Amino acid sequence: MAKILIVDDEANIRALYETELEDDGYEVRSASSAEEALDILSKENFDLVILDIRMPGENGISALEKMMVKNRDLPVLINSAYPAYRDNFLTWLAEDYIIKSSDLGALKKKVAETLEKRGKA
Amino acid sequence: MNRTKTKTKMLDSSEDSSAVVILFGEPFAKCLEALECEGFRVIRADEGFEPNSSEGPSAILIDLSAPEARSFASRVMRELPTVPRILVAPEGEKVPEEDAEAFAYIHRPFTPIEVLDLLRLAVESGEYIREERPCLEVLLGESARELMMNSQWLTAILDNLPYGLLLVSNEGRVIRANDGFLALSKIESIEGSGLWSEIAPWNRFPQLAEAFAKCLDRGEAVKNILELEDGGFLEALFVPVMTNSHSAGVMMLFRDVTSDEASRHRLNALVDIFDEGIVILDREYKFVWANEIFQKMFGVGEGFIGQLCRTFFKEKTDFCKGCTVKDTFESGVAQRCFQIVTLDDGSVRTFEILTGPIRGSEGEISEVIEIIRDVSDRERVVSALANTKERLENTNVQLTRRIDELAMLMELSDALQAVDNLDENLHIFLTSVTAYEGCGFNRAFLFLVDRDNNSLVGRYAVGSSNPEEAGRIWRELASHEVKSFSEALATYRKAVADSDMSAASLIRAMSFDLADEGRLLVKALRDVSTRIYKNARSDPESRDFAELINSDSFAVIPLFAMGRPVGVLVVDNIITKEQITEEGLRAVRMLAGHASLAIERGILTSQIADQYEKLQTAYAKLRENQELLLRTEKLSAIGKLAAQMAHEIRNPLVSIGGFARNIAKHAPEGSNILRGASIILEETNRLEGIVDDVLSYSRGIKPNRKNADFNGLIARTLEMIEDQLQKSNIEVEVEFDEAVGEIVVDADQIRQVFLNLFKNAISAMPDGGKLRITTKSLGGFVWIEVTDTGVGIPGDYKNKIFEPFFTTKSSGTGLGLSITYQIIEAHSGMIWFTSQPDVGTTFNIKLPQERE
Repeated sequence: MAKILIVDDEANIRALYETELEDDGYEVRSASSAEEALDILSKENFDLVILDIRMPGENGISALEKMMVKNRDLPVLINSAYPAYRDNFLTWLAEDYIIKSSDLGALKKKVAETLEKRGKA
Repeated sequence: MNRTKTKTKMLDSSEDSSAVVILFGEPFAKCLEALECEGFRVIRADEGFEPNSSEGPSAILIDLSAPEARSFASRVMRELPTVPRILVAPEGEKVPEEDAEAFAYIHRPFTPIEVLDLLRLAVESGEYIREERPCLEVLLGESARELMMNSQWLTAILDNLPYGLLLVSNEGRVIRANDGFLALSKIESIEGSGLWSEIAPWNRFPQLAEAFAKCLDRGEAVKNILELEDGGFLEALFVPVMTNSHSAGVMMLFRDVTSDEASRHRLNALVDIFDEGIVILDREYKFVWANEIFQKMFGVGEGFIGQLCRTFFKEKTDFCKGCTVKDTFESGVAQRCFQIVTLDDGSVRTFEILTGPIRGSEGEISEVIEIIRDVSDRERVVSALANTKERLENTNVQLTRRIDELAMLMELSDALQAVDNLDENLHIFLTSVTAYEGCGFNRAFLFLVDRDNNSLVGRYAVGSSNPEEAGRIWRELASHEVKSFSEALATYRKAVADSDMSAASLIRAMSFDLADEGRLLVKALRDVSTRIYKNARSDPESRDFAELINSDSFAVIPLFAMGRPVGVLVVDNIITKEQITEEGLRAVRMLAGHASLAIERGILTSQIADQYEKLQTAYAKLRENQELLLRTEKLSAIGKLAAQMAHEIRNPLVSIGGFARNIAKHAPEGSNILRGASIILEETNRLEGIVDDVLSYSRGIKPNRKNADFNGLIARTLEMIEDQLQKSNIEVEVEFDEAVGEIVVDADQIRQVFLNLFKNAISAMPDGGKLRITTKSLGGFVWIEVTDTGVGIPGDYKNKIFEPFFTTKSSGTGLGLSITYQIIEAHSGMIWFTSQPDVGTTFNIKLPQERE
C-alpha cells in the first residue's frame, strides 16, 4: 500500500485530502508545516508527497529543495492555490504542479499516474 | 558870435572920447582887462586920483566892500556929482539912502560883461547929462532899465544855449561862462577863477591847452573830442574871437557828443565784424578810409589815406581792370565786379568787390564805398559743385530706376508673403517677370527641382507663343497706366484670362535628369551662373533647348534658396525681339531671389504638412499607449488586491467543495443530502471559476509559447463547450484556412481566449442562433472572425467591454474580455469588434503568423 505525506497548513484541507485519499485506499499521513514534514521524512519513507507552498514558517519551495537534496527520487506534487509560483524554476523539481481545486479529480489522477509509473500502485 | 561882433562895433563908435573910468576896489581887477579891451582908459583910484583934474572921468566904479570905499564914494559924490557912479555891494545888501542917486547899484557876483555894459551906458548917459542936464535923470533911469533888461536877455540866451560856453581872454582869463558850462564842469560858479585852465576838470586835458594855443596862434577854430571818466564824450570847439584883426580871446564851446561817439564806435565794430575789406574812395579815387580787414587783406601799412587807389594798387596788382568804382560814381548805382589778384605771398585770390555810392548832403555822390570779399574758396567750391551736380543728375536717373525696382520688389515681396500657396506664389512671380515694367519679358518659363526624382521639371510658363495673342496682351497692358504692382498683376491677369497659354502646355512636357550635366538648364544650375544666349540655334551647347522653346535668344537664371538649387527661370522676348541685356536681367534676378525663397518655402510647407501628418499619427499612437499604460497601472493595483483575496478564498473553497463532493459521493440517490451537497458543489465551482479568472488576470499574461495547430486549437475549444452550444440551440459554422497551420502561441491562453468569446456568444444568444468562426492567413497574419447573431453590444458599452470588472451579466467577474484582450496583446496581436443591436457581434482577432 502506497504511503502518501500531505503537507498543508490548512487543517480542513488536510482533513479533506486524508478522507478522500484514504477512501481511495492509500496510507496517508499529514504535516501542518514544512518543518514538520521534513522531520517526518527524516524518520519515515513515503512514496509520494503532496506539498502546499504558502505556509507559515518555511515555505513549500524551500522544503521541496531540501527534500530533493535528500532524495532525488521522491515524487512531490505541488498543490497550491496560487499558480504564480510556477514562475519559480525550483518548482520544476517537483513531479507536477496542480492548482488547488475542490474537485480533487485532477490531483487524484496525477497521484495514481505517478505511483503507477514508479510501480508503487 | 555875430552879436559879439555887433557890440564890439558899437563900442568902437563911441570911443572918440576915450572915456576914463575910475575904479576903486580890487574885485574889479578881473574887469580891468575887459574894459581896456573895450577901449576905456582905466584909472585905479588907489594909483593917485585927483577929482579936480580937467579931464573928468566918464564913470566911477566903486566896490563898497573895499576899505575906505565909503569915504571915497562920499567924496566923489561931493566933488563930481555929475559923474555916474556904479556901486558894487555885497550880495543881498539893500541900497542905502545915500546911494539912491548912484547910476547903478549892483550885487556880487557879477560878470565883466555886466560891468562893461553898465559902464558903456553910464559913459553915454554922462555925456548926455553934461549937455542936457535937466532931463538927465529921467532919461538915465529909462535907459538904465532898458540896458539892464538887455543884459538880462543876453544872459538868458547864453544860459539857454545847448552848449557850454566860456569866453577867455588872450591871457587865458575867464571873461564869461554860461550855465551850460557850469553844468558841464560840474561847478557852481567861476567866481575867483582867474585862468580858464585852472577850472576843473579842464586842466586834466593837456590837448585843450594845445588847442587854445593853436587857436590863438593861427586864428583857426580847433576841435577836440574829450573822453570823460564816466565814459561819455565831449566835443570842445575853440573859436578865436577877433577884434580889429587881432585876436581878443577864445570862445570855447563844449558839447556832449557821447551818443555820437558811441554810434561811431558801434559803426567801427560793425565794420570789423564782417570778414570783408571796406574802403572809401573820394572822387579822385583816393583812399579816405579803410577798415582793418582791408589793411590786413592787402598788407597795407599806415599812411595809405589820401593815396590814389589806382597808383597804390598798380604797384602790386592789376586791380583796376574792370573796376566799377568809376561806374558807381557816374551812375550812382551799386555795382559788382570780380578781381583776380596775385598777392605778395604769391597766392592768387579771387575778390568779389561791391561798389556803392555815398551821397553828400545835397544828394551828390561824394564818395564810393568798396566792400571787398575774398571768394577764392567759394569759386573753387562752385566749380566743384557744378561737376558734382552733373554727376548727381546722372546718378539720380539711375537711382530713380533703382527706386522703381525696389518698390516693385517690395510689392512683390508683400504679395508673396501674403499668399501661402506655392502655386499662387509662382504665378505671381512669373507674372511679374513678364508683366511689370523693369522686367517685361515676353515669356517666362519656370523649371523646378524635383528632389525625389532628382530631376528638373517644367512647372509653369507665362506668355503666349502666338504673336497675335501676345500682341493683344501687350496692347491691353500698354493702354493701362499701371501704378502699383497689384494693379499690374490684376491688369495682366485680366489680359491673359482667356488667352491661349500655349507656353504653359509647351513646358509641362519637359523634364531633365539632374545627373545629365550636358543639359543646358542642369548646367546653369550646377554653375550657378546666369547666362544670356544669342543666336542660340547656331550654338551646339544651346541648340537643343532653343529648339524646345522655339526661341533663338533667351536668358537662363538659376534659382537658389538658402544655398540649395530650387529651379531655373528662362525668359525671352520672342514677340518683341528686344535684346536681352544684363541691365534688364538685374530686376529679374532680384525678383528671382524672392521667388526662390517662396519656392523653398512652398516645398518646406508641404514637407511640414507631411511631418505634421506623421506627428498626428504618432500622437494618436502615443495617446493610445498612454491610455493603455494608465489601464495597466489601474489593473495592476486592482490585480494585486484581487490576487490576495482570491488566494485567501480558494483554500476554504477547496475544503467546502471537496467535502461537498465527498458527501455527495456517499449520499443516497435522491436524498436531500445529495441535493444539498450538489448545490454547495455547484456554488463552489462558480466561486472557484471567479478565483481562477481573477488570479490569471492579476498574474499578468506571460504566454508560454509553443508551436500549435491553430485551427485544431479552436476546434478543441469548441468541443469543450459542445454540450452548452447544443443546449442553447446554437448552430456552429466553421471556415478554417488550411494555410494557417501551426503558429507559436500559448495554447492554454488561446484556448482561454476562444472559450471566453464562445461563452459570450452563448450568453448573447439565449434563444439560439448561429456562431460562425473563420480563420484566414494573409500578409503574415492570421485573421480570425467570431460572429454571433445575438443581441449585440449596446453603444454605451462599446468602449468599456475590454475593461476589467465590466459586465452586463448577472453573474461573472467581468474579467473575461479583459483577459482576452490582454492575451491577444501579449501575443502581439489585435482584437476589435463590430456590433449591431439585435443583429449580432463580430470579434476580429489578428495574430502574427509566426512559427518557432
